[in-house]
Amino acid sequence: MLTTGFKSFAAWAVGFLVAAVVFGYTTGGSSLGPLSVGWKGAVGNHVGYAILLVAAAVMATLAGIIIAFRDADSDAAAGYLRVAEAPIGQRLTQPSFWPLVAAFAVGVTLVGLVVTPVLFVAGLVLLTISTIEWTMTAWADAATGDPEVNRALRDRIMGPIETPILGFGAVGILVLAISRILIAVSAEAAVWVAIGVAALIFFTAVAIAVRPNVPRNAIVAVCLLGGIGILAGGVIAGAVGERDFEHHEAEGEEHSESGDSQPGDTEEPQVEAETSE
Amino acid sequence: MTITEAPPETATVATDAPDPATGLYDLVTTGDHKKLGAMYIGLALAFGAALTVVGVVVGLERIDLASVDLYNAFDQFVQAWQSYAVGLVFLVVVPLLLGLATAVVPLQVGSPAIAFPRAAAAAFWGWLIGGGLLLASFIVDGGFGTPGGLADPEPTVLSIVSLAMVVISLGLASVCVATTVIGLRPAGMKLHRVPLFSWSMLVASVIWLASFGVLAANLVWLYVQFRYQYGEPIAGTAEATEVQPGMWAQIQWAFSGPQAFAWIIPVLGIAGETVPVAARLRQRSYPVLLVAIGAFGLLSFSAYAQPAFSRGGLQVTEQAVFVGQSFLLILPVLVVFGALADSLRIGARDVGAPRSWLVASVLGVLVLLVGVVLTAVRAVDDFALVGTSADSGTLHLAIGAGLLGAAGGLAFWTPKLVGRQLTPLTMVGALALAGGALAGGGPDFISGLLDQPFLAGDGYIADDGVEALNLLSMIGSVLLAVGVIAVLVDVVGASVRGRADDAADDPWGGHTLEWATSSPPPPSNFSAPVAPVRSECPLLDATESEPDDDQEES
Repeated sequence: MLTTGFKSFAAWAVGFLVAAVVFGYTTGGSSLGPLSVGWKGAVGNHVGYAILLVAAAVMATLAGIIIAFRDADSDAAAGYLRVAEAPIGQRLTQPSFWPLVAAFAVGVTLVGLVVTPVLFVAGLVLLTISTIEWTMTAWADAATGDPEVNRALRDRIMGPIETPILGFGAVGILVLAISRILIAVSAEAAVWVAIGVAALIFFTAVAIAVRPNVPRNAIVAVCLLGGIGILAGGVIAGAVGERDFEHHEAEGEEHSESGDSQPGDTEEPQVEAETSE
Repeated sequence: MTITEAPPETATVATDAPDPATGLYDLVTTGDHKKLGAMYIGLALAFGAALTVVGVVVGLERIDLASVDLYNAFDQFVQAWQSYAVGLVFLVVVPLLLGLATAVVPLQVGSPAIAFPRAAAAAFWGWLIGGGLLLASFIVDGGFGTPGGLADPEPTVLSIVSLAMVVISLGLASVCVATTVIGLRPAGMKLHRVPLFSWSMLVASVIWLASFGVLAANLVWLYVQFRYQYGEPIAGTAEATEVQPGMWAQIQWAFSGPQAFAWIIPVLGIAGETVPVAARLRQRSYPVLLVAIGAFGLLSFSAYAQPAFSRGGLQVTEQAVFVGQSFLLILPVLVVFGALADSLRIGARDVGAPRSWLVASVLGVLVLLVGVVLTAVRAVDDFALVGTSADSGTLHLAIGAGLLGAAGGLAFWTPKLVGRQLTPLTMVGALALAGGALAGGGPDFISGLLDQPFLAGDGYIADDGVEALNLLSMIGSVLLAVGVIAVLVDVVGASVRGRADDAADDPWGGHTLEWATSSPPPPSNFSAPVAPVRSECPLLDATESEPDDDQEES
C-alpha cells in the first residue's frame, strides 16, 4: 500500500525532476543533456539544474524511507501492528547516547581541522555513524507507545547491520593489537605469545562451555578484561616499535637490517641522479 | 516491502515514563529538559567562577598600564582579556539564561517536554565540548590575536573553530527553546498570553540565531583567512604567524553595545515574571511589555557593526543607523522599568520582606538601564568613545545585568529545578554582582572619556586619575567574582541538600503554569492535562474563579 507520506514526497520528487529538466532546456541545455544528467550534452545553468536535481533526489529518498518504514501514516502503522487503531506515540524521549556521541564527533572533527586530517576523517566517520544511529532510534521511538516494542523494532533493523560491523571491528582491532605485540617481541617470544594467547582463548572457551551456569556478567567481564589487556599490550607494543627484521630479496639473498633503511637505499641515488641531470 | 515483516509480540501500551536511569548513565543520555537546564546552569556558573577570577587578574594588570607585570607579554594580557570577554558571554551569561529557559520554558507553556529533546541534549554537549576546547585553546596560547602581534597558529585556529562550535550549539539550543514556545503551547495560550520570560526567550532566540549566524560566518571567514592567507599551512608547524590586524575587530561587535545587550534580552522577561508575583497583582499593560521586549530585541541586534560595512569614510559606529539604534535602545528598557516600578508601587504593601529573586531581577533591569544609557552616550561621535575602555565598560554592565537576571531567575525557579529554595546567600551574591557591574563598568566608561584606549597596555601612560579608576574597576571585577561564586555555592548547596526542606509546589504564589505542578516536576512535567488558558496569568484565573464557584455551589 502506498502511504500518504510516500505519495506526497514522491510527487515532490517528480515535480523537482520535471522542473530540473525544464530548467535545463530553458537555460541552454542540449537535446539530451538535461535528460541524461549531463552525460550526453549540456544541462544549461549548472547551479540551478543541480539544485533542482538534488531536491528531487532528497524527496525521492524521503519517499523511499517512508514506504520502507511506514512512517507518517497512522493507518499503515495500525495495519502493520495488526491493531484497530494506531498506538499512541511515545511522548517522552528515551535516554540516548547519540546526542553526546554526535557532539563529541563534531569536537573531534574540529580538532582534526587543526591537528591532523586523520582525526578530521575519524570525526566525520563517527558523526556519520551517530547520525544514522540517532535517526533510527528516533524513528523507532515514534513507532508505538511502548519503549520495549520500539527497542525491539530498532534492534530488528539495526542488529543485522551493527553486529557484523562491530564484530569485524572488534576482531580487526584485536588482530591489529596482537600483531603489534608479535612484531615487537623477539621471533622466539612471538611464537610463545601466539601459543599463549590461543591457549588462553581456547581454555577460557572450554571453561565456559563445561560450566553453562557461569553468570553472564562474569563472561562479559572476562571477555572485557581480556580484550582490554590485549589492546593495552598492542598500544604498548606499538609505542615500543618493531624488532629488526631479516628481509629476503627476490634473488634469495639474505641480509639483516632495520625496516626503514631499504627504501632509502634504492630511492636516494635515484633522486641524486635526477638532480644531477 | 517493509523491513520488519511481523508485528512485535509485546503489547503496545502507551506510557509517559521513560526508563528509570540513574547516575552517570542518566546524565549522559538524558533528554529531560529539566536535567539539561540544571547541567547548563551548574557548568555555566563553574565557568563563571573561573573566568571572573581571570577578570580579577586582568584588572590587577590594568591598574598600572605603563608595563606588563603579571603576564609575560602584552599578547598574553590581551589573550586573558579575550578569554574573559568571550568566555563570560558564551560560556556563562548566554548558557545561564539558555539553561534557565531550557528548564523553565516547557513548564511555563504547559508542555510535557522541550521541542527536539535530543537536539537540546546534543546542543548542551556540543556547548560543553566546544567550551572546553575554547578554554583549552586560550590556555595553550590561542585567542583571537593581538593586532600586529604574533600568534601560535594551531591554538589560534583551535580558538576559532571551538568558538564556532560553541556558537552553533547555542544556536541549536535556541531553536529548541523557540520551537517550544511557538509549537507546544496549550489550548488558549495565544502568543499575547505567553509568560513574559518565555516571550523574552522567544525574542532572544530569534535575535541570537540571527547573531550566531553572522558570528559563525565571521569565524569561518577568519579561519579561511588565517589559515590560507596569513598563516602558513598549519599541520605540524609550530612557527608563530603574524596576526592580521582585523582579527579581533571582526568579532568585536559581539562584545560591545548594543549587541552586548542582545545576549541578555531575557533579563527583562525574568523581571517581568518576578515583579508581579512579588506585588501579588496582574501586570498592567501586559501587551505593552511584550512589544517593549520585542523592540528591545530588535534594537539590540547590531551584527552589522563590522569594519566591512564602513562606507564613505564613516565607520559603522559613526553612521546614523547605529547611533539612532543606540539611543532608541533606551526606550523599551524605560517602558519595562516603568511598568514594573508601577506594579511595585501599587502592590507595595503586599511585597513584604525583599526576596532575593525580586532584588536580583530588579537590580538586573537597573544595571541594564545604566548600560543602555551609557551605550547611547558612547555612540555620540563628539565623545570619541568607540575604541576606548568605554567599550569594556558597557560590556561589563551587560554581563553584570545578565548575571543579575540569571541570579534572580535561579532564585525564583530553583524550587522547580531541584525542589529546594535558595538561601539568603544569593541575595548577598546579587548585591555583589550589582556592585561589581557598576564599579567595573562605570569607571571603565569614565576612563574612556579620559581617552584610555580599549585594551591599553605596554607603554601606555595614563592621564591623572585613570589608574584610580582602573583600581576601582578591578574592585568591581572582584565583586563580580564574589557574586558568581556566592550564587554557585548556593545553587550547589540547594542541589545536594537533604530532602527535609523540600520546596512547596508554589512557594511564591506564582501566576504561570509552572507553579501548577509539583516541585520538582514529574518526568512528564504535569500529572494531569493542562486546562485551556484564558489569560497570561492562568493560576490567578483559577484562584479568582474559586469564590465564584463556591457561590454557584451555595
